[in-house]
Amino acid sequence: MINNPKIGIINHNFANLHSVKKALDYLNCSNKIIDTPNDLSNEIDAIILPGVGAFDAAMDSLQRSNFINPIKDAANLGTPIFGVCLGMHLLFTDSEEGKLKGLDLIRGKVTEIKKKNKDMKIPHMGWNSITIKSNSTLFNNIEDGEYFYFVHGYKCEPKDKSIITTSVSYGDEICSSIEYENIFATQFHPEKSGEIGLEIYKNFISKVSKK
Amino acid sequence: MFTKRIIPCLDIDKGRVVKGKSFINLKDAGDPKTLSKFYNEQGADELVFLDITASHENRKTIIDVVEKVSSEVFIPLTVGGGIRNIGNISELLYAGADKVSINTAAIENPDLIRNSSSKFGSQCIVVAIDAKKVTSGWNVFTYGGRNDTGIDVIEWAKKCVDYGAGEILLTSMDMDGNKKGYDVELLNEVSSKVSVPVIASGGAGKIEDLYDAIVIGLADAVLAASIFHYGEISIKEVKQFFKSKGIPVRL
Repeated sequence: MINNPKIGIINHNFANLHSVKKALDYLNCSNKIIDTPNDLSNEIDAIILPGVGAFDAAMDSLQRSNFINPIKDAANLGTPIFGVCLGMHLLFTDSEEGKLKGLDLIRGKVTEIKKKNKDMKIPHMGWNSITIKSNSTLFNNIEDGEYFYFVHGYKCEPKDKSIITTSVSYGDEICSSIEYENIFATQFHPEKSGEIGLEIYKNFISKVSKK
Repeated sequence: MFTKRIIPCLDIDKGRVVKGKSFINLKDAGDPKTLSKFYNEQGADELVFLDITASHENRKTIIDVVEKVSSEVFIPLTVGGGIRNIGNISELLYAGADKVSINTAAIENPDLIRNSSSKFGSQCIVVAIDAKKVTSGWNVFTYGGRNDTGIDVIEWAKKCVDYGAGEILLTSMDMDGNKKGYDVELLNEVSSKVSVPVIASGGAGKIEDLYDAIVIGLADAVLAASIFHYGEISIKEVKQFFKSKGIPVRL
């Protein structure tokens, strides 16, 4: 039991880490921006991998800061990791958006959202309601049909569909969150989804506290 | 269900909200944070801050406003006004803005759209277009509607998307302030020709105007300032009206 868990927010390539930090600060959750792998010391109880922008730019940034192996090692040792939006994509094997390999903590690929009709706009930008697919930590006490804020042009396709915890409808049914052992991810931005979004972080923090 | 967005716009001058001071229930409606919280509780889907501070030295005040609002209001925040370069954008995003809206600088230096979208991602680069009717269609105006660039709005909107804009904030200078409704013809023309979301702006006077912007104008989001600030229509009322008409909204 960790009373006041400290969450490390990985700093890579202009991610929206400040919004994530502000949400954690607001929830009085101890946190630290992680600029280098050295900052991923023992005092960090969980990792948030935020992200906006392009897949390759983010992977390149993680590579150049020597983050890739330390993040994988932490994941393999059981440290809870939460990927948000592009941060979710980075957890996967690879992406149609780029040429670089992802972290491959989740087997599967990231594919482009296809236009189904002429009125459908890409990126998928705005509030959309989720459908709960299975019981999960992040959506504890969150009702089916709640709205979250999305901004993305690519979507995650895990090989193992059973790890999908919620989905969202935009042209196709899109995976909007996953949970696999100590790996958590949402396609939407909890830090931009109002009160209900903050609930997601609260659920993550409470999971880390009970580790 | 994917929803249409209702976005109140706050004009900020030297760190204070310019319009909306007649709000009776708010202790300090001139305070951007107070008003932002109020709109968030009402169900605003996003907030847009337009910095109308004239002097250059006062840029710090908008940064300070963004910093304070984003620490307590957790919905997307777009900031526009006076953005000239990557440095300005970086400062605003660092302070907690999610998107920036570029207007005159985008026309004068289209590389700013290219460079900023490749650096920060398309999703945070909004190009604001001020459109005015001319005989052949609509032209892009800059410097707050004073300068006719001679550039066709539809051509420019398409180019902005090619350069990497993630969204278009389209204001009709003809309708802005007259409360007679959005220019739905202009909206329809632009929205049906670009692949990114279009935000309707300029002319909202009644609830039906917002409805028309979406149904006839095909806008993905509607922005309004005075009708919300002066309490003429609440965001909740708009959403309830939309819902009754079968337009998906977050309620």
